[in-house]
Amino acid sequence: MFLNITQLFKAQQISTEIPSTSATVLKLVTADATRCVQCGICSYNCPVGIDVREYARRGKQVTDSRCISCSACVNMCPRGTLRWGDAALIFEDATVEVDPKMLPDALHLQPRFA
Amino acid sequence: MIHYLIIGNGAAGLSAAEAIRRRDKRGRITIVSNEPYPLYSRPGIAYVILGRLSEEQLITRPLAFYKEHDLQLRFGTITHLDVQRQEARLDDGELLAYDVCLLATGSSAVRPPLPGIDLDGVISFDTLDDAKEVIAKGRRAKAAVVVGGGITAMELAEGFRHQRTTTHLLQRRDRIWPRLFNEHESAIIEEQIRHEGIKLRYHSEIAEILGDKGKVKGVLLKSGETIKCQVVGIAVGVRPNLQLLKESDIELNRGVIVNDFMQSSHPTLLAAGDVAQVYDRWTGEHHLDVLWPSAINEGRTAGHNMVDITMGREPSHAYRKGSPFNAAMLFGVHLTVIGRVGSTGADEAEQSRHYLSRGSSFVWTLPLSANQHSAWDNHGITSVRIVIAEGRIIGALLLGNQLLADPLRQLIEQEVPLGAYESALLAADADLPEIISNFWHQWRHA
Repeated sequence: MFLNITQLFKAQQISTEIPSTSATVLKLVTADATRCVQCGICSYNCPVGIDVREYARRGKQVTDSRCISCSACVNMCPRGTLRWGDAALIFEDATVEVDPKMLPDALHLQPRFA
Repeated sequence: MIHYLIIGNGAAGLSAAEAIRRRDKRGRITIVSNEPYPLYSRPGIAYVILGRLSEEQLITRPLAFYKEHDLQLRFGTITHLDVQRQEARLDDGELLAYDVCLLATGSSAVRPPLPGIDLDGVISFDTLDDAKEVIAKGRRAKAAVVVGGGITAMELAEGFRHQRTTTHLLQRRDRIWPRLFNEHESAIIEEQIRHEGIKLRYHSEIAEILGDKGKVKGVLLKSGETIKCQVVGIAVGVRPNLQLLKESDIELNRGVIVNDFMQSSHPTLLAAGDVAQVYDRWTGEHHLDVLWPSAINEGRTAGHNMVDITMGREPSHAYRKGSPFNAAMLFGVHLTVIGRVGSTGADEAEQSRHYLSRGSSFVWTLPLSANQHSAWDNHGITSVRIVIAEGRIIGALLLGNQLLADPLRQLIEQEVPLGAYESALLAADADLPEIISNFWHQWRHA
């Protein structure tokens, strides 16, 4: 599925539809650590109590199984740090494989936090 | 026992402390904080005054974290630093001898020497305590006047407005943030400001802050007009906190000049964060940033090198400064600034006088030279401006829809040559988003 980036750019608002979870591709909350100022609005608004800020600080995807994909953190982040990203492949035997090519590009630009 | 002294408990200080602890599990690390809190997100104070975040949630590293990593947090102020003798004195009189010291004292709001500047009700917006004051005073005030042209002034205006206080935002010139925005970008933000019900005035400067019984009761403008108010927000820029080095012979410019290893002109004194004037490889000069990720990255580098120094080795971690970048939200509109976008209309003399706003970089607004060209395009409140030089994009400013922000950041950081795309981008009436996204896709999938 090719994303028509030009059309989307001209839109005044990016759709904040909750992505559906399919059997083969999982969407995870994905963070660009260089944008994160650790204000904590993400964690503050998480209805299930995940410390999203900690994932964002490290530029890691939120892999906490309690995540219900409500998009509250993605929507509330004032810095555009968080977005939905493709990450893992879930196989029929329920094993999960993370494709490193799917990780955010920002991770290649900046040194990682510990 | 080796003693690492870190003066300052912000992003740079903590980042350094963590980097030291990763390599040295036994050395004593003292962090001195002149605010009575563990590490909190300074950029987040803007969201506290908007009611989007609690003060407790703002704390990024609780006290337990310091204990867990054996970081000795001292609340107090360093009153004297002897760089040669490697000693610092706390305000309670205690002398702290150190092996290596990091100056990470951050920056503070500039308060212009206006009559009435010391009245109760004049607020600057640096700290969590300032945020508490904004909320407390904003609640009781009928009207507020905010002066300043950068992110902080806008956050303050929005914060007072959130308390339903009548809010006046005064701009000295004829645009919002005239150093950074062109007239179109300023118009987009102006629309949002007025939409919020904030009263915006151009060509407006305060001549005097008026008081009654020691409290603010209004401002007198240079035009002769008076605005009644109970609180005045001053956000005209910040300057690095260098008081401790005033009597030293450490090499200073606007900040502490540091080498690639974050060392000052004395090898056992390092600097990181707002106080550090770091080498920028694109301009070939040392410049200041007031940026949170810069502070973290510089702190990490400094911490790593502090361990080398105490082991008697040469510092091993050279800092590689990235293209300065910040993302913020102004009155609901997202903004990203990357690299060099040039200064719109400020002359040389003004440049040398100006103080940086929080969340900005000196490099952003260095004047463009004759061979650096700018292109701009917009769709409603979404706009993109790029600066091209030497066949590549060297800077960008995006308002509104941020889809092109990360692609542009990659193209700028990785200095991707534009080739034939350069003339397309600089053509009159170029559809910039279309061309940029085509270029980016072509580069990504090459």
